Amino acid sequence: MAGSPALPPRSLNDWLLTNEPASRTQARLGRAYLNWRAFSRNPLAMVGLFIVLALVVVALLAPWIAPYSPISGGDLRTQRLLPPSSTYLFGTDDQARDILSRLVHGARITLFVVALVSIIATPIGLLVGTVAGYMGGWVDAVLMRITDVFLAFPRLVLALAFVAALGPGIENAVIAIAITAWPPYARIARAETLTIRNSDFIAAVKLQGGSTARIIWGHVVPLCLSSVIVRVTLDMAGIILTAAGLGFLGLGAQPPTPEWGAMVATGRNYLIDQWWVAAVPGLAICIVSLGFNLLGDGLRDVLDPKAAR
Amino acid sequence: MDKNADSMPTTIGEAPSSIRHSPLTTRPLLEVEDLHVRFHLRTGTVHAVRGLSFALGRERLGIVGESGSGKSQTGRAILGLTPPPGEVTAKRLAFDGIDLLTASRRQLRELRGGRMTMVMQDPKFSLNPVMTIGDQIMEAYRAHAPRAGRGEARDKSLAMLEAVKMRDPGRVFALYPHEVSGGMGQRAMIAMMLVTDPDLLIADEPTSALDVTVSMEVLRILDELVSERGMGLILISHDLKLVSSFCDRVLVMYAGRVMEELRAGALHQAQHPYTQGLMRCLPTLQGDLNPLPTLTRDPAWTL
Amino acid sequence: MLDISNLHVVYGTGRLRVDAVKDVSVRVAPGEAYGLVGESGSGKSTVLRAITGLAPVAGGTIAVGGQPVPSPRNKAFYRTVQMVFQDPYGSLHPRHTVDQTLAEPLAIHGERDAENRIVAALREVGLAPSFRFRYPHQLSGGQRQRVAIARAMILRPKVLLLDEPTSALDASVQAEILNLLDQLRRDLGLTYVLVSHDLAVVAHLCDRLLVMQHGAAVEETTAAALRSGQVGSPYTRSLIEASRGFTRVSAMQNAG
Repeated sequence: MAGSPALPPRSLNDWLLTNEPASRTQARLGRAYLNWRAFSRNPLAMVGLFIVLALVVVALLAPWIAPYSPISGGDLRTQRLLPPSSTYLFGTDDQARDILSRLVHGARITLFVVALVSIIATPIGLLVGTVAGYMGGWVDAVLMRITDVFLAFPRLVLALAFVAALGPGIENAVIAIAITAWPPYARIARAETLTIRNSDFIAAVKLQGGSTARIIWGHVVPLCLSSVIVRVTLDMAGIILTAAGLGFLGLGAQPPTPEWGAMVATGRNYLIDQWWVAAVPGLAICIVSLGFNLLGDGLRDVLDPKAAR
Repeated sequence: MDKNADSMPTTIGEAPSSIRHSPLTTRPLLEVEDLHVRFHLRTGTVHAVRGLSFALGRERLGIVGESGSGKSQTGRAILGLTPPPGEVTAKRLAFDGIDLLTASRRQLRELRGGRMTMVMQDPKFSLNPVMTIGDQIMEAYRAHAPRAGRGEARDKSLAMLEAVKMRDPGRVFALYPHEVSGGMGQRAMIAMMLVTDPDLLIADEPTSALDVTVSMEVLRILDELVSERGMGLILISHDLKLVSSFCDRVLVMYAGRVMEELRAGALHQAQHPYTQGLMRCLPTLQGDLNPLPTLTRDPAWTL
Repeated sequence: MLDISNLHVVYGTGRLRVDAVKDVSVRVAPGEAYGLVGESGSGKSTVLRAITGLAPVAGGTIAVGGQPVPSPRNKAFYRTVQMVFQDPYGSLHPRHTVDQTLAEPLAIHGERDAENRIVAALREVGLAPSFRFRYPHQLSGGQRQRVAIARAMILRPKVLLLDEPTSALDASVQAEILNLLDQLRRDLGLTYVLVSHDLAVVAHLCDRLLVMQHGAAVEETTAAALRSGQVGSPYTRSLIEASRGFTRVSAMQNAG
């Protein structure tokens, strides 16, 4: 990866890197391009990005990629627990289902969990953190004590409690994870807000008569966003593992849904003789978690240079 | 001290002090020839200092320039403190005959803080916040006099604090940096830097974080110590007026090059349009022009 | 235009109580440029912050255009009074283009024709339209300060509060900004309150000024008096002395 990555044609490059953008779009694109150039310089981050993109592609194209049905198996007498072969690339499980097909469809569930949790948890964390940090006083005290309460519980235990109350199922698992995931984001957003709050550019908006909501939404949130996004990406691995853990305990996705954690759980019974049943989904969890972690690290170097050093 | 107390800033050649060597008769304390500092960045190479040459005796040399002129990078390069992506090259960079470009790390470390030191702009950032001022001065002293005992280091540090005109050295000795004012912090910094009896002091904007009245006091102390000890001093600043009233010689830098070398007090004889422009664009109490003449930068200066 | 009488600003309570401004009165006529001079901790910037409502007023009155200022300040106040900050690196939002920065006050006050007014505001402070979509990191210190001035001017205020507007800039850039400020004031009939530690800058821009020390007024004087050295208080005299640069003569006096 040393040296310069393949550059787009000279003119486009110049257009993006110009110091005199002619429009809003060009200015934004130029900025994004600079970030991309910094990001693509980091080979590990690119590996992470590749893994995450591969997960997205596999999830999107699951029905076309998977050679067999992920739910209905073959002949239980002859096709059960077969080792990897050219017909069944990763072998079959105890219901005579193709593990590869289940893995491919499982990518959808993993992506679903990850996307939904970040869509729910990130805004909550951002909002709580920026409002607490910006307003200060009793608002800050109340919001942060609530955050502390949520932070005090181990994530899996709290999620377990929620799922137990809401009933097992992948949607409830997502809600449970989202509820336990936002407090760290709130903490980060608050810490960032405290450093931004007293800066002159915030005072300048105040002096233009900008409302509190406008200042928080238009000026504070965009600055907190990057460090929170970095943290969310780094947390993805943990979220996937929690979802898999809930699935493993039978409280997440219910059979016959091809959820990776549940797959590991069933494979556990055959670990000695048919190791691939548990090992393949386990490996998938491992690789995807690693992918998100590498991506998050790379993003941090680009978006949050303070934390990188 | 100086005999001509009646006149405006004096030049050092007339000073009677015996410890002061004439800069031209002996080997210069510092020789810099064709110094270049380059930063290789993602976006290209920034050539911060481009072919700077000068020799320094035991005198007060001022380096003046605006931001981006390379004046601070010059000071850092001499001390080997150029930050990472930077690259320093020179035909010759020698301190008291020791080639700084080929010297070992160990040798450099001994020189730095021992025989040559630096005072930076803001004492808030250059003093360790969790150590008392006294401990820091003692540490600086013992780092370069390893055989000195605690008692000796303490005496030396207290004497040094007294030398920088601290009213109650014993009390300041036990204070933490955040407990003193900016001016006191900067004087403590000077005490720490001079406790090892250096031959060369580089002061990079030593007073620009301070109020005017305080900064005059700090400069006065610096001036006295430098002349008493016969040190070489490089004063780096953006303030042409201040530097020319303090130093014996002034180098005016622009875009990494020396535009002009001036004798102190000969400011009004400046030949280079950049120096003249710099001087004229300052509002003064003695009567300034309205509108102020602005500086037109000739691209030829950067060639 | 601006009338401050017996202003007190207090931060904290009990042992932590700091009287940042003590009994300061200032009267600024319409179209006048008034200077507040002092060293750090003199309370000069706090006076500005108290006018804008950024600092807690513990006593005294502030009136703009004969009307006492409302508390909290309303939008009408902010259309009349605007401020330029010291640090051009800290006063612009790092993720906003010049265009966004200038559009914000227009949007807050529901102004129309943002497109043309932004271009006009840039032209007014001597910036070409090509600067419009740049981010702050693509601007020099002087250009940033011009953008900050454009932001303050875009609502057409009557009073401009200047908090050390040039002290973070190089001398040559300072001259350009001072000329710009002077010209804007003459063209638009603005009232200025300039805070600075630099006597020469204040004397250049202002006719009358107040010297402050430790939160209190030392003396009110004129630029002409500063230039001729006819000032009453020894503190002002020492400031004038220090502004002349380092003199070895004074070193002698002090050492001996």
